[in-house]
Amino acid sequence: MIGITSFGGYIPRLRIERMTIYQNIGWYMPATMMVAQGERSFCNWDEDTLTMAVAAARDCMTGHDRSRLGAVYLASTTLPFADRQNAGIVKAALNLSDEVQTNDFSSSLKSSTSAMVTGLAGVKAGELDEVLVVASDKRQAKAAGFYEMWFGDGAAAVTLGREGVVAEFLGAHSVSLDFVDHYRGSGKKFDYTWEERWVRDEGYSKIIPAAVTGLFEKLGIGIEDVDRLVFPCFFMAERRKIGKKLGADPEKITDNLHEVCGECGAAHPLVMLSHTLEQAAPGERILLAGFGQGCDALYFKVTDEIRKLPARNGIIESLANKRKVEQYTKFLKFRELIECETGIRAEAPTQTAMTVVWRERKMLQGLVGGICSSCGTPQFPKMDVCVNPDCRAHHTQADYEFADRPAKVKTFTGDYLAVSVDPPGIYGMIQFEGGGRMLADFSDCSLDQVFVGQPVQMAFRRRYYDSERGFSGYFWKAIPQPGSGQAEVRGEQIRFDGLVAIVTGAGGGLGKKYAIELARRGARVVVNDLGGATDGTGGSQAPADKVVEEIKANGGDALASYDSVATPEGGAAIVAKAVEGFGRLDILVNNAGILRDRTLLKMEPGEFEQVLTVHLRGAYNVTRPAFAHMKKGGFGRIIMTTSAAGLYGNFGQTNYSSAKLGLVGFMNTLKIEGRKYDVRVNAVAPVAKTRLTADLLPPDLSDKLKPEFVVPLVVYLCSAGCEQSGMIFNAGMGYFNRVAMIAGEGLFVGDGEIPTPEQIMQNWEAINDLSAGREFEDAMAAIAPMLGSGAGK
Amino acid sequence: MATGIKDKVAIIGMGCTRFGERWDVGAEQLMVEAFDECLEDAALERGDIEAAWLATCMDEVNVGKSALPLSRVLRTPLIPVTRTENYCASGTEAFRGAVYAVASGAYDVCLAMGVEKLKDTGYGGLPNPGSGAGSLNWLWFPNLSAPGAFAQLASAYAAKYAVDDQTLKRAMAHVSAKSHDNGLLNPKAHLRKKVTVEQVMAAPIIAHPLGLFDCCGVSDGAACAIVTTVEKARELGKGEIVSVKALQLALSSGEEMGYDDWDGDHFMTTDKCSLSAYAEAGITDPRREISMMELHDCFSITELVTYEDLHISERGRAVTDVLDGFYDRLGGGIPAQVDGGLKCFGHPIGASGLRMLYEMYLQLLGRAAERQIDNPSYGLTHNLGGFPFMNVCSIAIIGRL
Repeated sequence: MIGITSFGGYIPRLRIERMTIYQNIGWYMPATMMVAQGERSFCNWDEDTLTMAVAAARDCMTGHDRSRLGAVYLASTTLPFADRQNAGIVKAALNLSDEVQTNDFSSSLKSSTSAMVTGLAGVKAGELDEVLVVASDKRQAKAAGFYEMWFGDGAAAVTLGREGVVAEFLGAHSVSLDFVDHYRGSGKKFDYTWEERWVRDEGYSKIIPAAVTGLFEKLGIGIEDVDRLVFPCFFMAERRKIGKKLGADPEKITDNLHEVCGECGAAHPLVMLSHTLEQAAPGERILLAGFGQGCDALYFKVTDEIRKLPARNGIIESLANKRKVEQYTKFLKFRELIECETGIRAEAPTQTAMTVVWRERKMLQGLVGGICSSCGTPQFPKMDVCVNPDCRAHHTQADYEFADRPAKVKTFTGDYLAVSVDPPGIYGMIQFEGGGRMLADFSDCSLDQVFVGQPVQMAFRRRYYDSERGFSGYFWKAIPQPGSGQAEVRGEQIRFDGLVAIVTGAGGGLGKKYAIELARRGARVVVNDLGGATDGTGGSQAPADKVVEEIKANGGDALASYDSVATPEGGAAIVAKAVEGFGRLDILVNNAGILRDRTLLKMEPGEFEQVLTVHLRGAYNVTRPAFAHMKKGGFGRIIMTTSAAGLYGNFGQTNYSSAKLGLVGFMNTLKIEGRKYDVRVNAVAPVAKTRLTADLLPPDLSDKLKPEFVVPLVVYLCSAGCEQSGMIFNAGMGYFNRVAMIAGEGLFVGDGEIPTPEQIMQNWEAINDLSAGREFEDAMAAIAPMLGSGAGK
Repeated sequence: MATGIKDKVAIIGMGCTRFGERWDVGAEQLMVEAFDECLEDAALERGDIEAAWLATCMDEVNVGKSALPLSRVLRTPLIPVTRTENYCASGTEAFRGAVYAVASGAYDVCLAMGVEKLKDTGYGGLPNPGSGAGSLNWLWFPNLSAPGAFAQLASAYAAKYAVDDQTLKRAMAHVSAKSHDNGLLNPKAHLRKKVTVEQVMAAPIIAHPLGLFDCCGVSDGAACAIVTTVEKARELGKGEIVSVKALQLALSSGEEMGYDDWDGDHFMTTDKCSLSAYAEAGITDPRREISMMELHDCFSITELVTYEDLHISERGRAVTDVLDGFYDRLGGGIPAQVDGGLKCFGHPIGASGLRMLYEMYLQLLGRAAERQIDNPSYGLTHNLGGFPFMNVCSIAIIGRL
């Protein structure tokens, strides 16, 4: 049994919607509207026929033993070299032995199926064990035409052999005719196409059925013995007609992929074949036809072996891995259809030394490095002296393939200065799994997606095109893998290493969570807590000690402070703990607080006083000495804990509400005094279930009311990257918003004379109107409207 | 047994042109401009010079190859002249040639000249070599520029020390802003305007995350030095003598870009080279003993990590030291880039190493006018060529005898 033993494909990532093309240039040929559906694929600026061929070949060779290959055939009508074996470059990229034959099949859209026929003949005759047939095309079309719409770029590959056959080859029949639907003379850039009606009527319609019928007669089969009819033809109506002519059920005609990629020239029969095989079940019978100066028809039957094939990306994954490009000009530039100003910098010499390309062919085309037999270090490039500083042995390196090795980004940049077709040029250092590293250009990515630690895979790409001499130069680039664990690696960008924080009331509730998170992100934390009850009575070292213990157990650093915030001495002692214990102070979270809830009439003077003392005076007692240190250091972040009770009011909490809004007033002025020194202060009104809210909040929301939901906002406000100051935020249950003091537009009443209360009453609505409300930065700004300077701020 | 260079060689004259876009002159005139000042400073004549070293890097644009450009232009009479090139460390390399020649006893008086004429390329930035970068290099090195190569230090440093991008950007900006404050006071600098930290942070990106003001410019200039033995300097009646205390070089072995250890966030060469230089000069606590320095501030991030590689800031602490103002001229620590650095002078490659020495020399002799540092003892120059992943680090320490 001989037949297909593996298959694969590659469609470049970039897509442009045909409607985008039409919107940009359809003015020139409005009729192209008829085919402006879906999208077409196109090569990145560093891709061409050869790079796509290599990608398709590697996909086909996934998990497939390369040693059986006896020949590599490359089929294309857009080969970069008219004279230099292109298949040889593909072979070198696969690092195959010198004895493997190479052959280019070109000059016809059916060259891919012809290559298959030829390969199968070689296998059948016993001359070759296995043949790799790769087909690839990057067809150029002039702007504003139908062919620009119909074409896509892509490649596919199959291996043909006799071991592990997944689709048995049962026969082929070809007709070869000098039917010139289009041609491209040597040295010409674009195809010359004849009238479509004639091409359809006399070409596709007659020639494909001729080959297929010939095959049926040869094998003694009929259309009923075919499950899938695979043939390229971008004339939709014609496809249906050919099917009908052959008597085929419309369902048997496989999708020609116009909507999702377009027709890939000589590669398209194999692109469609791979796409079909990626979904085929054992027992299915496939008829493949390739058209172009005749037609080849080949007949296969899928075997059980297809289930054993290792997974590969194939055409299906390629189609899914897409990136839409909105700019038609990018499409044109990447295909060199427009000339852009590159500046004198781009006039650098570009000659390639053939001696170097030959001598270093394994390194340059195969990405083959070395591995030292003395110390086992993989290294790129392979050199006579080992790179390991503890080894440095001479002449000890064996070949080591890097192309299929996964790697990770170690460093990167996006360069706007280097001459690039698609700026910024992105490159960096990558580190291979198992050892070895190199500096590489990255491709198929945008700068905002790249991060240190990101996985990459290597791809064979066109490095440069020397237009003076017509030489394409190739090397490998790193392709960042889409959607690969970005969140975990990027997550901890906010850090506090080297910084010192004080959190008051950190023995439990919100304070404890703040302290633990800041410490986890590198801050050294002074955990302050009096250890008293919610009404402020009593005291104990245990709560602060336990939090310090927990921080240290997780690898952090913390000191306990038991002083009360209620006195200036206590506040000074808390700050001293940080400065003497850790040498500096950068962050202060004023969180300590107590409750003595009573309605006003029942609230004793002591209860009013005590709550004000702990919250408001407490903040003053700690913030004052803290601010002195922050001012000296030129950096500070201070958090005041305010409350919805203070901002809006809450029954039975006149003392608490006064204190909490008082803290906002404190912040409003402190933000002005701190500005010069980068000391920023913000206020947070948390909604969470802690001791202080135990009786206030509904029990069934306990899980949603976790203090952890408030922590991220506070951590952010403590970070150097947060530049806001004087802001109030609500935070609770994952919900966040900002609260502000808004002043209405207002008006002058009385025309310069002292107004009467009656005039006040008359203008009440206007005085109260907040619809054109705005914020003011400070008192002076807020008074400005009274002074008649309309714009205020 | 080798004993190092400390206090064997004296610098008895130096010259430095105005740096900038010198449309009015070519490399030939720049050499003479520096040479004239140097001869006058040394109170010597051309005939007293016994051997010379010429540093110039980009011969594609500049003066061409060999050392003949110096001998032809300065009209030296059939004396030995050697061409040196080691990327951006070329200037210090010429100095090194002259210093060792004198220390070996082969000659009494030697000249080291560095010159570069970069503004004939027709565009900004360093010349793009293309396949001239090396026939094999050209076939596989990434399409990099100098800013992009050095910018990678930032991503590595930020990842390693978990510094958030804004803080690092601010520290880098501070580095540039403080150099501009110094350049304001220097009539020979190319750029003499104040630049704020905010302006630096907001400048357009050249190679992420380096912005326009994180990068030094390209300019034209020349600088030179005449050296002799300490004994001869005394014989010539020199009062205050500036001597070479250390002169060290370290080159990458290829480990950074080929082996698995290097983190991409510092210079292995500078790390080692500085220790060798301190040992040679007899310095045990650089943070306390170095009075001032000229570092290779091609990019702000280069200067920032170099503070750590010089063992002056602790690893991971450079950002804090920078923001504390430790390296500002009036910051109470070690003033860096006192003359304005590459940032304000631009970087005519062959000349820069000698320009750095020029400022240290002036400071030691009390001739630095408004930039004068109080009673300096050791001045350190750090002159780096290549890229973070493959480079030449040269360090010179000079001081009073």
